[in-house]
Amino acid sequence: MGYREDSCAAVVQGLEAVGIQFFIHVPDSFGAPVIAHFEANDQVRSFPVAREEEGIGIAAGLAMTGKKGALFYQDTGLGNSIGALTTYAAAYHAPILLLAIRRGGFGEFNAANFLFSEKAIDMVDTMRIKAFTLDYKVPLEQWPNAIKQAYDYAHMTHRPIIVFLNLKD
Amino acid sequence: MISQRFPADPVVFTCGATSREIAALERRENHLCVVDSMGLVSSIVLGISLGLEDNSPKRVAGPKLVVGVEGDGGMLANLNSLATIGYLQPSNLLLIVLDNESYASTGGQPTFTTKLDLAAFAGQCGFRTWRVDGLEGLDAAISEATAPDSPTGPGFILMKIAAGNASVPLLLDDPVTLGDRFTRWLSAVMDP
Repeated sequence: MGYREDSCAAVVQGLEAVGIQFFIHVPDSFGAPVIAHFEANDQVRSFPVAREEEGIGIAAGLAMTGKKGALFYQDTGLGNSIGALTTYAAAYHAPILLLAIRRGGFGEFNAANFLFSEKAIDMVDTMRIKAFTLDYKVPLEQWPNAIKQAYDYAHMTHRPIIVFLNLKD
Repeated sequence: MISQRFPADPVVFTCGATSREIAALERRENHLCVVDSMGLVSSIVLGISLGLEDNSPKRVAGPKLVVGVEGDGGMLANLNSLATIGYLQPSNLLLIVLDNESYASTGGQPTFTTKLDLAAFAGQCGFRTWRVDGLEGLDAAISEATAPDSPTGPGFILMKIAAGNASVPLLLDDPVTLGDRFTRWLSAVMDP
């Protein structure tokens, strides 16, 4: 398997360690194996949303009922959801876990995505949304625990947490 | 009337005048006022409905329904959510859209609903729909939507209302307190 397959497997392992009950996603070619895994999993309710902002509201609603959920979309999708992330999730202390797939940097093939992606981490930092990054600098065997830690941290600190993922070969 | 008809179910109110007016009228633990995030109510209630639905087989007490109160402007800001709700078909979700054909909270600018029928759109997405234009009609539509023998699936009540806002104080609570009170109530009734 290549890095993409191995990193996607590590993401799945992390989310399963969390024990997620709901997996909310917007399509992404790099993260497709993760989506396919949960779509085929009878124990997790997996579904797409038409736009990222919806996912913030749904995940926040689920959190209010005590359910474990995760959002999975491209970091470029932060542009469609930063309003909901700040004015709802942050303002109402919604402990949601957002996995944002990096669409810039080495290995990116799209000639437009990178223009948003390269600034995404700085953007959420400016917006005071806490984020961590998992990429080639972090050994893959540490990813599952890092994802679980991020979920726990969101709940312990009462706020949304973003984990940026570089899934590219 | 919405508050009276749903005294023990979670009810989420949209931003602007809608939240201000319900908060001025009464404060209830089962009410969640969303003070900004225009359009997000339908998605928040979807999340709550899925969470409650997931519990329902083993749950004997607590709310069986989640209600979202949205405006025409807010609904237009998140039309995608109607498609998502229609796709997922939660059995316990009711959206009530108060349609005054304007952005009344920001000065009365016209919305598309002067020409667009939101109930028709919701119907195409898979909602059961009602169109009403007065309190009597709203009461009847709620009764139909919540009748034990009514068909399953999400409900959508479009209520045409007059433009204009009541003169009430601003809602200045910290959103954390609004969310915390509601979540504590929801947790308590879900697990009595």
